[in-house]
Amino acid sequence: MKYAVLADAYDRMEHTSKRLELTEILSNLFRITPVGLLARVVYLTQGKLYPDFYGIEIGIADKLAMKAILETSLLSSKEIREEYQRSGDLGSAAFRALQVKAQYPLFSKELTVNRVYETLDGMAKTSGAGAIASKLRRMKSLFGDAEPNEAKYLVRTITGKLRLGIADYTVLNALSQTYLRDTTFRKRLEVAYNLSSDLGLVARVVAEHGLEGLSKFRAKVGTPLRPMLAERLASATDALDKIGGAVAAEYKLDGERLQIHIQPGRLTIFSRRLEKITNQFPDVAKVCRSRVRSKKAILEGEAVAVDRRTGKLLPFQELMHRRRKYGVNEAVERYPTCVFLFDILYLEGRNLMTLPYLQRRKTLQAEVRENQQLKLVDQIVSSSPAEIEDFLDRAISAGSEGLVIKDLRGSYRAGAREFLWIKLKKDYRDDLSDTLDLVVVGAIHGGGRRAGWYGSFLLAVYDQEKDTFRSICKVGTGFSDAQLSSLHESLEDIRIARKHPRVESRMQVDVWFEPKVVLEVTGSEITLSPIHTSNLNSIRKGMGFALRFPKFAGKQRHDKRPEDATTTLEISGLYLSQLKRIKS
Amino acid sequence: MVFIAKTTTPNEWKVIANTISTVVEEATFEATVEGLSFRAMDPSHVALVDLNWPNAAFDQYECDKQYKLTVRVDEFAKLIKRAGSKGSIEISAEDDDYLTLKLQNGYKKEFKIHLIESSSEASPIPKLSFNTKVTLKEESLEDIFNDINVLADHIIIESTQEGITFLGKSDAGQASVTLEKSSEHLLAMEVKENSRATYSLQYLVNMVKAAGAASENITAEFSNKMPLRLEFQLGDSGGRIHFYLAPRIEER
Repeated sequence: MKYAVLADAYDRMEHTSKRLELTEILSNLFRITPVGLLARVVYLTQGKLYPDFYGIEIGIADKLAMKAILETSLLSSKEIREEYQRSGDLGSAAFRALQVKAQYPLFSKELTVNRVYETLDGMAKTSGAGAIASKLRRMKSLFGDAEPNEAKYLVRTITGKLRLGIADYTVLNALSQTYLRDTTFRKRLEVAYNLSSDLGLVARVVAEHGLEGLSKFRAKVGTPLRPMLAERLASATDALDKIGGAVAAEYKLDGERLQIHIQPGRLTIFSRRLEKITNQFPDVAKVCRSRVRSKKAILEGEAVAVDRRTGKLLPFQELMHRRRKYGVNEAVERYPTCVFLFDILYLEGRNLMTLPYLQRRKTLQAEVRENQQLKLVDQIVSSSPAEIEDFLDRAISAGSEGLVIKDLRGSYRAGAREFLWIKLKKDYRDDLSDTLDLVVVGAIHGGGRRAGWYGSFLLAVYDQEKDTFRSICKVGTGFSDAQLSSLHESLEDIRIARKHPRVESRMQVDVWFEPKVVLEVTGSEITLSPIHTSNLNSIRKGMGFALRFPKFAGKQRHDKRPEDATTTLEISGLYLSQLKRIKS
Repeated sequence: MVFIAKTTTPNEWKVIANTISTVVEEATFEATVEGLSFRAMDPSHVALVDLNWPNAAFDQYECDKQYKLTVRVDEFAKLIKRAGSKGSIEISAEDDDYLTLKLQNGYKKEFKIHLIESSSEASPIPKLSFNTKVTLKEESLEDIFNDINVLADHIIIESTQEGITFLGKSDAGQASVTLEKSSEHLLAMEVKENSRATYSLQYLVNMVKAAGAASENITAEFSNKMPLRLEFQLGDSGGRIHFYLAPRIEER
């Protein structure tokens, strides 16, 4: 299959903003793709080479891609750079630049999907000395044979800016349209995806074996499952009404959700977002190996930072010190954790996901020898609202966020958010009732579906006294694709090379901005934070305030100047009223 | 499996290792009863190296049938460097897993490196007819390329019945070197048709430095806007290296 076919389809995708049309184009592309190539086409179309949990990204810097373009084109570097400046898109610059090439090849060879995939794969896996030169050579090899339109999408893919807007569910819809006659079977595709976390694999299987193939997907040790999620309700009564009969109520801990895959000789830990984070938790890996009886299992639990001396649970931020590449051992030493297990999905060749929750919990109990570092999460089984409310209070005073109420009969539904699990939190009742207006001061590049866009933004409040902007949270949720893209545009012109002099931040970001854009944000509460600089040192030395669970409320406040944003004074007011609420 | 190739000096292997590493990261040698060969294009398909090393050129050569031996070039080159400036090199393979290098210069050194699965297909040889053929001393050509390279990244080669001219230009300035037909540096010249073509100097400079190290003379052949071929001798062993380079596009 020629890469040009893919590039043509991309071109059509780029020129539509309608979901249905996008799905249609994708479905047509699948129809003409040989089955053996389908997985690669799915990955490439999402701008990837593998499913996310492989952790392999192409990751070529714009600068290096530009170098390859310059060395392949006959146009002067000035002309190409001007085109890049004008469009802000390296792909468009490549489109222009590679209309006139500088070099004949000895033999020209058409770009095929396989050649492109394998070259990119080789680039992604090259590291160490000489890697840059090798990547440059490989890029030039592709560009040398690329037609301008191919070059455009190649460059965008290589630099992680394909941005076709092909979300997971768009792929599932298109697969359903292509290979299943009846769209009511789409659910089956979703189940297969939730069990495998691999859209390429799902595509290949449904193309080759249809529904029968899909029915054979099973949980597999070593492959992350898309985690089961909980709905939220405001009270124990509501939750009991919804489920009916007795329920399990468990502490909802303020930590990081882990999916632990144990197999002989290998243990892998996945995050809620299915990233491999085994390296951050060597202590967890060790304790699981020694305290879990079985040699092959998939467990789920919450890792929480604990105070070594008092045994008390610490807030989520403490655990975030583990999120690093280097110095993990020090972090493990300084920020010890305890893992509270709450589910078991697989055991010694048996898939447990279809068992009722109560039975899974019992199996888990028998499987784990608890100690200080590995426990089962606190649980009661009850049908009394009063008892559950009491338990909620206990959970909160023990440092939990709230409770998760679970249907005792419920199976494990990977990737699903249903009323089999229900979150119950204090802050759904005592939420910060008002939104905050915060200033964008920095951003972090997105990965996965948001690759090429900003994944999250560093936001700040206004300090009237100092006339500066102080960081208070990082927000990455609540944005639609359209909002992200329009925000990207508004920020493009105010990008600056380093932190703005009026910004106070201890946090490092990929991109800094002039403080100008104001966003409306909601959050659950104001907490003490060792990272953020809002109201620094006002309550405790070295600590500022952070907004917990910040979420973009949907509005960019074009009508507000950055100085009209929420002030540090207002934040301290919110913190104090929050304290009063907890005490009363 | 029987494959043994022994040379009394390390020079040829050094030239080969350096030459190959200018085009590829992994190299597949083909060993046959007749001798050893290698052919590969760089990833951009701009340059091609074609080595031919007949069995008679070796001190000892044994090969019972055709084998493909693929190595990582950086590993291979590092080992060849361990040979120092004198002494014999014996390269052999008993199975598909390892290549053995025995170096002898007072010490007996033995290295084994993993043979790898070849990931690229064999390159064809471009079918070309050349209208200009010149032979120069290795030093002369290296000199000329370096002269032009002071000011330019590309070299224009122009041939007429009167002689051959090398040109370079860039924003920085212009350079030219002319060899008249009668020049003592021009060992042979044959021009069937006036020719002019532009080539990337980076390839040429690297190649002459690597492959020219054991070659007294270099023969260059090309045609108007067509690829260039350089022929290097592999010492006086009887082996030779052909280097093909596609032209650059001169004007828009």
